[in-house]
Formats: sequence, C-alpha cells, structure tokens
Amino acid sequence: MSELEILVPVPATRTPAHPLAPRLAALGGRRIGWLDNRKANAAALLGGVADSLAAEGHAFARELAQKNATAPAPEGVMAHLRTCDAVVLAIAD
Amino acid sequence: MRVDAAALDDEFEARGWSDGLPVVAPTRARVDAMLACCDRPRDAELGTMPPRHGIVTPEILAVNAVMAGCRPAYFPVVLAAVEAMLDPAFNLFAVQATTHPCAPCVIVNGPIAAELGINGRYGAFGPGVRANATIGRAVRLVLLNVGGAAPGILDRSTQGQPAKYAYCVAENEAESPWPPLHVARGFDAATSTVTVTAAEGPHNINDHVSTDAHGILATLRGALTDMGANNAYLYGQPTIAFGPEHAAILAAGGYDRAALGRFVFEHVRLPRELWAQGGMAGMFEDRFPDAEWKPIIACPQDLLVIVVGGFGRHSCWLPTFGDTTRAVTRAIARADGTPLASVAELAGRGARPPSTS
Repeated sequence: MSELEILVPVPATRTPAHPLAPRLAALGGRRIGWLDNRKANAAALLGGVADSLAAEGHAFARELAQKNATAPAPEGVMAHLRTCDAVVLAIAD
Repeated sequence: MRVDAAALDDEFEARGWSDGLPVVAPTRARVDAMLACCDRPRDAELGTMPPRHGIVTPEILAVNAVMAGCRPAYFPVVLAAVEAMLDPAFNLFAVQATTHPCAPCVIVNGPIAAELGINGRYGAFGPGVRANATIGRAVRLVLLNVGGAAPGILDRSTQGQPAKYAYCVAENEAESPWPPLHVARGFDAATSTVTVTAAEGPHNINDHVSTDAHGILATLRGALTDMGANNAYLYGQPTIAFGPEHAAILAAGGYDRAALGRFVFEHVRLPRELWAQGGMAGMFEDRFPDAEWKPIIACPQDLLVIVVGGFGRHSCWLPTFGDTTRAVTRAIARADGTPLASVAELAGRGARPPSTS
C-alpha cells in the first residue's frame, strides 16, 4: 500500500454567537409577537403553537406580524415587535 | 493526514470532501505550488464561510484548488471569487442554504482572462477548457468543504443544477460591441476582475431569423417572461449573455447596455392574471412597483449584460435567486489591493509563511 500525506480540505469553524434571549417566567398577561415569513406553512405553524399554548391555559395577547421570506423585517414591523415581551418566528417552506 | 493513495477518492467521498468526482491529492508540495501565486500569509484569515462558518485562509483555498485541478496561475482568480462571495451584499448564507438551485457564477473580465485562457467563446459555459472547469470546480469545492454546503444537509436546494459543479466563464470582450461588464461596474478596462452572481444555469435564447434589433428584442421578451423564475417575484439582477451575433445586431440598432436595461424593465412584464395564479403569489406583493404589469427587475440598472460565445444565433440568460443577493465585482489583486496586471507578477513569489511564525 502506497500512502500519501495530504492536507485536509475542511477547516476549523468559528460560528457566530447567537445567545438566547432571557426566558419569560410565565406567558400569562404577556404580549407575544408571532412573525410570519409568508411562506406557505409559517402561519399554520405559528397558529398551531399559539393555539396549543392557549389550550394549556396560558392567557397571552397575540401580536401578529409579517415579513417577506428573503429580507429583514421592515423597521415598522420591528418597532411593533419591540413592544412585545417575546417574539416567536416561524421559518417555513 | 495519511491516506492510501489507491483509495484516495473513496476516502474523500466517504468523508464528504468531494463533489463526487475524483480529486487531485492535496499534498503539501502541490498546495505550496498553488500558494506560490499568492502574496498573503497562508494562514491569513479572510473571513468565515457560511453556513458552516469554516475559517477561510489562502491555504485552505489552495487545498481545494489543488483538488479541483487548478494550475497555480489560476489561484488569484479563485481567491478573488471567494472574497467576492464573502461580501455581505452577496448574502452567501442564503445562496448556499436556499431550496432554489442558484450557484455562484464567476464571470472573469480583463486581461487576466486571456492570459489564463479562460474561455469566453464557443461553448464557454460548457466543458473543454481547464481554466473554466477547474476554477469553477475549485469555487464549488470551497463552498462544499469550507462553507459546508453538502446537498440535503446545509445546501437545501430541492434539485440542484449542473452549474453547481463548475460555473466560470470569461466575457468575450474582443467581440462585444459594448464596454465590458467590469467597466460598466466602475473598473478600468485594464483591471482584471471577477463578478459573482447567484444564478440558475444558462437558459437558451434562440433567435435564428432576426436581422434587426426589433426581432431580437421580441425573442428576448418571450424568453424572459418566465413566471417560474425567482426574478418574476423577487427582482434581483439577472444576466443576459448575448452571443456576439445577437449583440452586433442590437448594437447596430442603437441598443447599448442602458437601453437594454430599459427595454427589459419596461417590456418584460407579467400580467396580474398570470402571476397571481401560482409561483410565489401572496408572498412579496408589498414590494411590487406595478402589480398589474409586474417587471422582472426593479430598475433598468439591475440588468447585467455580457457577451459570451462564438458564431451562431444563440444567447442565454441567467435568472437569479432574487434581490436578496447582489452581484459583486472584485479586482484580481495583490494583498494590498493593487490590481494585478498579470498573474505572472505573483508566480513564483510564494506565499509568505504563516503570520504566527
């Protein structure tokens, strides 16, 4: 068997840090944003999650927002979401 | 690492390190020879490549360029293409990870294209020329191995496309009636550049009969009115690569780059009765400037025009991912940014040793 010494073509990584937002202790009485990217299943996924949480007895206000799937949310949408206590984003396809 | 020479390709395939084709073994000697055409430290960090966020250095690019079969003289083009793809405007994360089949197309302009023999004439988008094949392949191997764009894992392209193997072409500047692409994008004619655009494969535009611009433009209008292209809903910067014969007819009719952009903006439009039935209806209407007759570009300046090919009555267009990505042009340059007049300026100089040593 003839062996070759080769260089590995895959480098080390440096993944950007994306720290999680502080967790809410409870949803009751909170304003929760739901950001839909307008792909076909986003609204269904977000609605299903919200409905499930409501069915478990969490009484929160729903703030619905939309953005298109390929661009950052416009400032108006972001300003609205900043008024929420938490935001849930669905990335659907 | 050490590998059994006879099992190299099996080893690379098993580790997910190849595009499926046999590779040239990236030995230290070959990688050093590649880096002889690079004036940066071999470990200089050029950024990270999404979505895997592999750290990009001249050495890792050289390893992949060796695997692709590049001659060392091609390396400055590979490096410039990678730097262009890392520009935030190109949005490589989305280009790599989308379900759309886009691939970065590398368009080379300026004297270095001729120096390296990058094909811009007959069959330029196809096989047969080492420079096109291996520069394009090197870019793909970097996207796979550094960026981590393995099909079905971090590359979510539903079907992929053949141009994901290699997608590199030179503009046929000598037979173009118009200033070349890089001049239109603000560079001197003597500066060599790469332009990257996240494109589908070339879609043919066949007009065998027209002898005036009116006929060519009618064919163009029919070809580009394509509801299945992302540009139909997402605009962006599609490229038209005119064959020299079509380009000559258009130029004789008074059409320059700006006039072609105006024509496409004004006349290549989809009526609401068509676009509203399928495609991506309901997703992007907030951005339509005219929903009744929707253009495929947001402004005339967003049409890219190049001339590619030999004799024959064919042109093609390259639909793109949409306006979430912008074409980026970079000079093929030294580390200090000075454009290279010739890759021979670097040949044999050798990459500087690691910056830490």
